[in-house]
Amino acid sequence: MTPDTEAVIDAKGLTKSYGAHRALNGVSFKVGAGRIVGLIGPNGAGKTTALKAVLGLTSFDGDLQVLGWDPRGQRDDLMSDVCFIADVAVLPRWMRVSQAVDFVASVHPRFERSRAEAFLKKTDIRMRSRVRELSKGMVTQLHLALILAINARLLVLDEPTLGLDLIYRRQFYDTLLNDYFTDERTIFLTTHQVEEIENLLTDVLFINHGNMVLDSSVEELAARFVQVTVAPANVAQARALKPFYEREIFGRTAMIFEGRPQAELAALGELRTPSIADLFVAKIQGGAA
Amino acid sequence: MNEATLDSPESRVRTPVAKIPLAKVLLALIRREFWEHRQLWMVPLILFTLVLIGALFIRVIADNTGLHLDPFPWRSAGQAANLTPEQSNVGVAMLMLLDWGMTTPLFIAVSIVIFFYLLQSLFDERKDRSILFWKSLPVSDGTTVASKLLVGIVIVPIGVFLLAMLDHLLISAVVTARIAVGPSHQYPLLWDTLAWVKTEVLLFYSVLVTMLWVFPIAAYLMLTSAAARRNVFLWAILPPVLVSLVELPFGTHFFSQVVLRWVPGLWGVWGRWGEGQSPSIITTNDGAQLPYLPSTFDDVNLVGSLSDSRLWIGLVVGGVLTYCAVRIRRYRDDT
Repeated sequence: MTPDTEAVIDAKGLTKSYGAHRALNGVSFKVGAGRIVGLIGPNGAGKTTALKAVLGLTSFDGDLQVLGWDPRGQRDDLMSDVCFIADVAVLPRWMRVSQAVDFVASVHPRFERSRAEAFLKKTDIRMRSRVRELSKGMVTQLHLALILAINARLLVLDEPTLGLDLIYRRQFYDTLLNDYFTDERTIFLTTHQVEEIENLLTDVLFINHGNMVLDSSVEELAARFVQVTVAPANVAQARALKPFYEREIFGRTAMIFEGRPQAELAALGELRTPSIADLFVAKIQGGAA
Repeated sequence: MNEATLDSPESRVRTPVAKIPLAKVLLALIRREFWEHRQLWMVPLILFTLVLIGALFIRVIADNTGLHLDPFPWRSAGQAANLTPEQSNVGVAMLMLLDWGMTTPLFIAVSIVIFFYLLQSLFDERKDRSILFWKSLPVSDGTTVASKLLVGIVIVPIGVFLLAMLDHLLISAVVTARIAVGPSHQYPLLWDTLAWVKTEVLLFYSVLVTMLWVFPIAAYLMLTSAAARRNVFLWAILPPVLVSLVELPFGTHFFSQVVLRWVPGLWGVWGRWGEGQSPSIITTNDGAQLPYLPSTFDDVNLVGSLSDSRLWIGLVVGGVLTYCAVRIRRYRDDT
């Protein structure tokens, strides 16, 4: 079996309600091995609920298989092959760096202590320090050091860089790509800072109001979506082709089309592939309009 | 370009790895509890030392009227010069009582520490959200809860027992030494090794029965700790008090009898030695009565203690409450 055909996460009809609020409304998606998948959505769209379902941290209805396990009943087995950073601030504040390394080493069969220590050596973090004495950026580095030293097949990240400054955010994703990511590892992450991870993702999932509004690989996006900067004279003609989103920039109109052949659009103005951020705004706002 | 990527990590994610044995995981979890809750070992050690210092300064006076152990108001019989066998028994009883009495604060203080430890055990990790870190590791909720329960009602109590035993030896040595160099040499505080061993076994037995007896209370505290959204202390205290109050208009005291007297009920279980009879008493020359701990040991009725139905009901209730605490930790998602 090749990594591409095997689903690391296979979700069918995930549903979860908090009282009257539907956090997930029958969501289905697949995440293949060796992919870096971004689950992107506005606040309250259901991102975190979906991740919690994958990690067995919440109950839900529907079918869900993660690496072949059901996170509801087989969470303890699952956690040997999955690791996650739910939030950078969750490392216990009383713990010393050395204790954190010792602890993970003694409970995780896939943890390679030497790698964590090598990673920490490259930082300013001292082994004797307590987590509460570290800056927020250093806590992230420590958490990353622990997680990257685990030979897990799936890494789940929930807004991992929230509240970090640009330098640390950049470092975080660079480390993730260079030191961690391989063909057999899969990364599934949520963020609302779409611009920063655009170039990193192989697949995107857009979620809004508990519904999946887009599920596509990044390569497919270019074929599926075209953004046209329409000259003023062509606006009416362009609108006839039913863009699903348009906005005015400096007196020109940018429109995004889905599933229209490029040849048909080329006459209207300048073509380009919309960025994931543009598409996100278009899908979320356009979908509502 | 760096050592981490050189040796093909691809193979590593799929190579089967042996599971870490449960005992090793438990040991790591237990060690973690002592890292996080330093009061669990600091309080016993501080008290251990204070008790020893106390033994250096406690006033032990012998005069014509008898023996005064200040601040303990015990008083033994008079003339030290002519000790009868009964009187030397009094001397042994006195020393054992002095040992036992001086380490009582150790047990009381540690009980309070354990009470708050159990209340915090599943609450703090939710408050600071570190539960999300613990849950990212392959450790089951059952193992985690078990480790905390083990620390609270087995490891710390046994550790404190061992400290107390050491304290008893040292107190006896210090007091005996002080008496030897003191003005009054023939002093009716007598060391008796067999009596000491019996007293320690008796103490260990009491600790053991207490551990079993308080298990439902410990489990209740952990359940509160797992369930309360805030103010875990109130949640632990209020329900038993409220239910007892609700009972009042009905003229029943069932709940308050069962729950509020659970801890005092322990004495009833201990009292199973020699059914209905209190610990053996020695009467001194001036009529004072002293419990004689070593012979209390002779009366211990382990089978009697363990066959008390309340103990077994308590164990079952504790088991159910623990199970509930595990389920709540497993399925709760408000962090």
